[in-house]
Amino acid sequence: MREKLYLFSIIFSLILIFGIIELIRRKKLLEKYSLGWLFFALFIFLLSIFRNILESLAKFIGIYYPPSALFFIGFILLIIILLHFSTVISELYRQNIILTQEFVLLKEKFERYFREDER
Amino acid sequence: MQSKILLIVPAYNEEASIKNTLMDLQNNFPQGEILVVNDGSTDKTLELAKKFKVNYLDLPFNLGIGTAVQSGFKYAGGGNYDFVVQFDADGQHLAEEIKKLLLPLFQGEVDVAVGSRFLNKNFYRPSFFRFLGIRLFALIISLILKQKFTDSTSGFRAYNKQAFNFLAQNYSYDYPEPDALILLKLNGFKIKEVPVLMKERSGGKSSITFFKAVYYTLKTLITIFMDAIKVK
Repeated sequence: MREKLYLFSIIFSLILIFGIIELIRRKKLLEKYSLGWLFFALFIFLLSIFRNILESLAKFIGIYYPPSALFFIGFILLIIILLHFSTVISELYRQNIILTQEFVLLKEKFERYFREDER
Repeated sequence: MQSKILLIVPAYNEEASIKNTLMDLQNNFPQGEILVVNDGSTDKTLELAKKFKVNYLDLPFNLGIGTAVQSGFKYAGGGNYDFVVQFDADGQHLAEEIKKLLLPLFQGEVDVAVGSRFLNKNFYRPSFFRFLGIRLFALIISLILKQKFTDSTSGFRAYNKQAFNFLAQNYSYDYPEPDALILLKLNGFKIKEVPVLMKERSGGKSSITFFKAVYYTLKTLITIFMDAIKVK
C-alpha cells in the first residue's frame, strides 16, 4: 500500500514539475509566480524518494503514519502559496484602482478641454 | 475671497433620483461646484447628469462607493478646492443642510463634519436591521475613538483641504464611511457630528440588501479593528 502511494506521489510531483516548466516556456506563467509551485513540487518529490527524511519529519510532527505527513506538509505548503497569491491579488486590485482613477481624471480633463474648444 | 467648494455626488444606477438631487443642489446650494462620479452605472444615470452641465467622472466599471468618492477627492486636490462635500445621489440628503456641515469648517473648529440624522429629536428611522447595524457601528467607533458618534455610516460629510487630501491617498475601497472616521481621527484630524435632516430615499433601491448587510457588517468590523493596528 505505502509503496503504491509513494509511487503515485513521485509520478504526480514529476508531472507537476514538468507542467510548471512547460507553462513558463509557453509564457503562461511568470517565473516569479512559479517559484512557490516549483518548491512545492520538488519538496513532495524529494520526500517521496527519501523516505527516511519523511519518516523523521512525521515523527517530529507527531504523525505515526508517514504518508499522512506527506498530506499534512503538502497542505501547509499550499496554504502558504494561496496566502501569497491573496497578497498578489490585493496588490493588483490596489494598482487597478489607482490606474482607473488616474485614467478617469485624465479623461475628464481631456473631454473638458475639447468641450471648451467647441464653445 | 470666497472659498471654492466641490460637491462630490457618487452615483451608481441612480437614474430615478439623480435629476432631483442635482436640481436640489443647483437651486439650494448654487455656490458649490458639482462633480458627479458615475460608478459604472448600467442605467441612464450619466446621460441624465450630463444634461445639467455639471462636471463628471465616468468610471469604466463599478468599483464601489469608496473608490468613487476617493476619485472625487483626487479631482478636488488637482482643482484648488478648499472644501469638499460628499452628497448622496439617492435623494436622502438635502442641499439646504450643506451650510450646517460647512459652518464648523469655515470657523476652523474641525477638519471634518459628519451629518447625523440621529442628533435631531424627530429623525426618520430606517428599517430595524439597518438601524441596528448603524447603531452597532456607532457604538464600536465611539468606544475606539473615545468620542461619541451616532451616525457613523452617514455619507453626508464635509472635509477641509487637509482632510480630503489625506483621504485621496488613504481610503477604504469597499465601505468607507465608518472606516474613514477612524483613519482620520487616528491621524490627528478633528471630527464633529452635526445634526441634519435627511429624507427617505426618493427613488431607486439602497445598495445594501439583507444578505449584503451581514457581509457588510462583518467586513466593516474587520476593517475597523484592522485600522487600529495598521502600519502607518
